[in-house]
Amino acid sequence: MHHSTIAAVLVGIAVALSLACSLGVAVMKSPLQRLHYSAPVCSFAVALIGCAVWLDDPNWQARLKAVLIAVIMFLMNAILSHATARAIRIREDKHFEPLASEDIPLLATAEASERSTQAEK
Amino acid sequence: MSVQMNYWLWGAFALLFALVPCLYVCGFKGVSDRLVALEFGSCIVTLDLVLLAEGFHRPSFYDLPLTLAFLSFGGGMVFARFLQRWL
Repeated sequence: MHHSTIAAVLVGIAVALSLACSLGVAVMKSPLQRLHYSAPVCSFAVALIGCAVWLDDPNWQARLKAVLIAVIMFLMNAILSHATARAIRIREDKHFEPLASEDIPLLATAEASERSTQAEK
Repeated sequence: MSVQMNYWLWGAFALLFALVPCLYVCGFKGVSDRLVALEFGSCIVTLDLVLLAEGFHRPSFYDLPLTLAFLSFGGGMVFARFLQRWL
Protein backbone atom coordinates (compact mmCIF):
# COMPACT_ATOMS: atom_id res chain seq x y z
CA MET A 1 0.00 0.00 0.00
CA HIS A 2 1.25 3.49 -0.84
CA HIS A 3 2.49 5.68 2.02
CA SER A 4 0.02 8.47 1.30
CA THR A 5 -2.87 6.00 1.45
CA ILE A 6 -1.75 4.76 4.85
CA ALA A 7 -1.33 8.37 6.02
CA ALA A 8 -4.84 9.21 4.83
CA VAL A 9 -6.26 6.26 6.77
CA LEU A 10 -4.35 7.30 9.90
CA VAL A 11 -5.61 10.88 9.60
CA GLY A 12 -9.17 9.63 9.09
CA ILE A 13 -8.99 7.46 12.21
CA ALA A 14 -7.53 10.35 14.24
CA VAL A 15 -10.23 12.76 13.10
CA ALA A 16 -13.01 10.24 13.77
CA LEU A 17 -11.60 9.56 17.23
CA SER A 18 -11.44 13.29 17.99
CA LEU A 19 -15.02 13.81 16.84
CA ALA A 20 -16.24 10.92 18.98
CA CYS A 21 -14.41 12.27 22.01
CA SER A 22 -15.83 15.75 21.47
CA LEU A 23 -19.31 14.21 21.54
CA GLY A 24 -18.34 12.53 24.80
CA VAL A 25 -17.35 15.91 26.24
CA ALA A 26 -20.79 17.27 25.38
CA VAL A 27 -22.79 14.25 26.57
CA MET A 28 -21.17 13.52 29.95
CA LYS A 29 -22.72 15.02 33.07
CA SER A 30 -19.91 15.87 35.46
CA PRO A 31 -16.63 17.70 34.73
CA LEU A 32 -14.57 14.75 35.98
CA GLN A 33 -16.33 12.50 33.47
CA ARG A 34 -15.69 15.02 30.71
CA LEU A 35 -12.03 15.22 31.65
CA HIS A 36 -11.46 11.63 30.57
CA TYR A 37 -12.19 12.40 26.93
CA SER A 38 -9.09 14.51 26.32
CA ALA A 39 -6.82 11.52 26.94
CA PRO A 40 -7.62 9.57 23.70
CA VAL A 41 -7.12 12.72 21.65
CA CYS A 42 -3.84 13.64 23.31
CA SER A 43 -2.45 10.12 23.11
CA PHE A 44 -3.93 8.09 20.22
CA ALA A 45 -5.06 10.82 17.80
CA VAL A 46 -1.85 12.82 18.19
CA ALA A 47 0.27 9.69 17.74
CA LEU A 48 -1.68 8.70 14.62
CA ILE A 49 -1.21 12.15 13.08
CA GLY A 50 2.49 12.12 13.98
CA CYS A 51 2.87 8.74 12.27
CA ALA A 52 0.96 10.02 9.23
CA VAL A 53 3.23 13.07 8.90
CA TRP A 54 6.30 10.87 9.30
CA LEU A 55 5.11 8.53 6.55
CA ASP A 56 3.91 11.11 4.08
CA ASP A 57 6.32 14.03 4.41
CA PRO A 58 10.00 13.57 3.46
CA ASN A 59 10.90 16.90 5.06
CA TRP A 60 12.76 16.30 8.33
CA GLN A 61 11.69 19.62 9.83
CA ALA A 62 8.04 18.68 9.50
CA ARG A 63 8.65 15.15 10.75
CA LEU A 64 10.55 16.18 13.85
CA LYS A 65 8.17 18.98 14.75
CA ALA A 66 5.13 16.71 14.36
CA VAL A 67 6.70 14.09 16.63
CA LEU A 68 7.74 16.78 19.12
CA ILE A 69 4.18 18.11 19.22
CA ALA A 70 2.87 14.58 19.81
CA VAL A 71 5.29 13.98 22.68
CA ILE A 72 4.58 17.38 24.27
CA MET A 73 0.81 16.90 24.10
CA PHE A 74 1.03 13.38 25.49
CA LEU A 75 3.14 14.42 28.48
CA MET A 76 1.47 17.75 29.19
CA ASN A 77 -2.06 16.31 29.03
CA ALA A 78 -1.28 13.88 31.85
CA ILE A 79 -0.04 16.69 34.10
CA LEU A 80 -2.81 19.08 33.10
CA SER A 81 -5.56 16.49 33.61
CA HIS A 82 -4.28 15.71 37.08
CA ALA A 83 -4.06 19.40 38.01
CA THR A 84 -7.54 20.06 36.65
CA ALA A 85 -9.09 17.08 38.44
CA ARG A 86 -7.43 18.14 41.67
CA ALA A 87 -8.71 21.71 41.25
CA ILE A 88 -12.25 20.48 40.52
CA ARG A 89 -12.27 18.22 43.58
CA ILE A 90 -10.95 20.93 45.89
CA ARG A 91 -13.47 23.40 44.48
CA GLU A 92 -16.45 21.06 44.86
CA ASP A 93 -15.55 19.14 48.04
CA LYS A 94 -13.31 21.75 49.76
CA HIS A 95 -10.60 19.16 50.36
CA PHE A 96 -8.34 16.87 48.33
CA GLU A 97 -7.48 14.00 50.67
CA PRO A 98 -10.14 11.26 50.86
CA LEU A 99 -12.27 11.16 54.02
CA ALA A 100 -13.42 8.04 55.83
CA SER A 101 -17.05 8.93 55.08
CA GLU A 102 -16.47 8.98 51.33
CA ASP A 103 -16.20 5.19 51.00
CA ILE A 104 -13.15 5.28 48.75
CA PRO A 105 -11.62 1.78 48.42
CA LEU A 106 -8.10 3.17 48.44
CA LEU A 107 -8.66 4.58 51.91
CA ALA A 108 -10.10 1.29 53.13
CA THR A 109 -7.02 -0.51 51.83
CA ALA A 110 -4.74 1.97 53.56
CA GLU A 111 -6.65 1.61 56.82
CA ALA A 112 -6.53 -2.18 56.59
CA SER A 113 -2.80 -2.18 55.99
CA GLU A 114 -2.34 0.23 58.91
CA ARG A 115 -4.41 -2.04 61.16
CA SER A 116 -2.39 -5.10 60.13
CA THR A 117 0.84 -3.20 60.81
CA GLN A 118 -0.40 -2.26 64.26
CA ALA A 119 -1.49 -5.86 64.92
CA GLU A 120 1.96 -7.10 63.98
CA LYS A 121 3.52 -4.73 66.50
CA MET B 1 -0.72 30.63 -3.37
CA SER B 2 -3.31 28.17 -4.58
CA VAL B 3 -3.51 24.82 -2.85
CA GLN B 4 -5.77 21.99 -3.92
CA MET B 5 -7.81 20.28 -1.25
CA ASN B 6 -6.03 17.16 0.01
CA TYR B 7 -6.81 14.73 2.78
CA TRP B 8 -4.89 16.81 5.32
CA LEU B 9 -7.07 19.82 4.63
CA TRP B 10 -10.24 17.71 4.61
CA GLY B 11 -9.16 16.32 7.97
CA ALA B 12 -8.57 19.84 9.29
CA PHE B 13 -12.01 20.87 8.04
CA ALA B 14 -13.70 17.88 9.68
CA LEU B 15 -11.82 18.44 12.90
CA LEU B 16 -13.35 21.92 13.19
CA PHE B 17 -16.69 20.24 13.96
CA ALA B 18 -15.12 18.81 17.13
CA LEU B 19 -15.04 22.37 18.45
CA VAL B 20 -18.84 22.68 18.38
CA PRO B 21 -19.45 20.53 21.51
CA CYS B 22 -16.67 22.45 23.27
CA LEU B 23 -18.38 25.73 22.43
CA TYR B 24 -21.69 24.32 23.70
CA VAL B 25 -20.15 23.24 27.03
CA CYS B 26 -18.27 26.54 27.37
CA GLY B 27 -21.47 28.46 26.76
CA PHE B 28 -24.04 26.60 28.80
CA LYS B 29 -22.37 24.55 31.55
CA GLY B 30 -20.69 25.28 34.86
CA VAL B 31 -17.27 26.77 35.52
CA SER B 32 -15.48 23.43 35.99
CA ASP B 33 -17.04 22.04 32.79
CA ARG B 34 -15.92 25.13 30.91
CA LEU B 35 -12.32 24.63 31.96
CA VAL B 36 -12.38 21.00 30.79
CA ALA B 37 -13.95 22.02 27.47
CA LEU B 38 -11.35 24.75 27.03
CA GLU B 39 -8.51 22.28 27.52
CA PHE B 40 -10.12 19.81 25.13
CA GLY B 41 -10.64 22.59 22.58
CA SER B 42 -7.00 23.63 22.75
CA CYS B 43 -5.99 20.02 22.00
CA ILE B 44 -8.29 20.02 18.99
CA VAL B 45 -6.98 23.36 17.70
CA THR B 46 -3.39 22.14 18.05
CA LEU B 47 -4.19 19.06 15.98
CA ASP B 48 -6.02 21.21 13.47
CA LEU B 49 -2.99 23.47 13.02
CA VAL B 50 -0.77 20.42 12.46
CA LEU B 51 -3.11 19.21 9.74
CA LEU B 52 -3.20 22.66 8.14
CA ALA B 53 0.59 22.96 8.17
CA GLU B 54 0.89 19.60 6.46
CA GLY B 55 -1.94 20.34 4.06
CA PHE B 56 -0.33 23.59 2.90
CA HIS B 57 3.12 21.90 2.59
CA ARG B 58 4.71 24.58 4.75
CA PRO B 59 6.95 23.07 7.46
CA SER B 60 7.49 26.50 9.02
CA PHE B 61 3.79 26.56 9.92
CA TYR B 62 4.51 23.81 12.47
CA ASP B 63 5.86 26.47 14.82
CA LEU B 64 2.31 27.56 15.54
CA PRO B 65 0.94 24.24 16.92
CA LEU B 66 4.24 23.68 18.70
CA THR B 67 3.87 27.01 20.49
CA LEU B 68 0.20 26.38 21.18
CA ALA B 69 0.97 22.96 22.70
CA PHE B 70 3.32 24.64 25.19
CA LEU B 71 1.14 27.65 25.91
CA SER B 72 -2.11 25.72 26.31
CA PHE B 73 -0.41 23.69 29.03
CA GLY B 74 0.67 26.85 30.87
CA GLY B 75 -2.72 28.49 30.40
CA GLY B 76 -4.57 25.39 31.57
CA MET B 77 -2.45 25.20 34.71
CA VAL B 78 -3.11 28.85 35.50
CA PHE B 79 -6.86 28.44 34.97
CA ALA B 80 -6.88 25.28 37.11
CA ARG B 81 -5.15 27.15 39.92
CA PHE B 82 -7.61 30.03 39.65
CA LEU B 83 -10.51 27.58 39.70
CA GLN B 84 -9.13 25.88 42.78
CA ARG B 85 -8.51 29.06 44.77
CA TRP B 86 -10.70 31.93 43.69
CA LEU B 87 -13.42 31.18 41.16
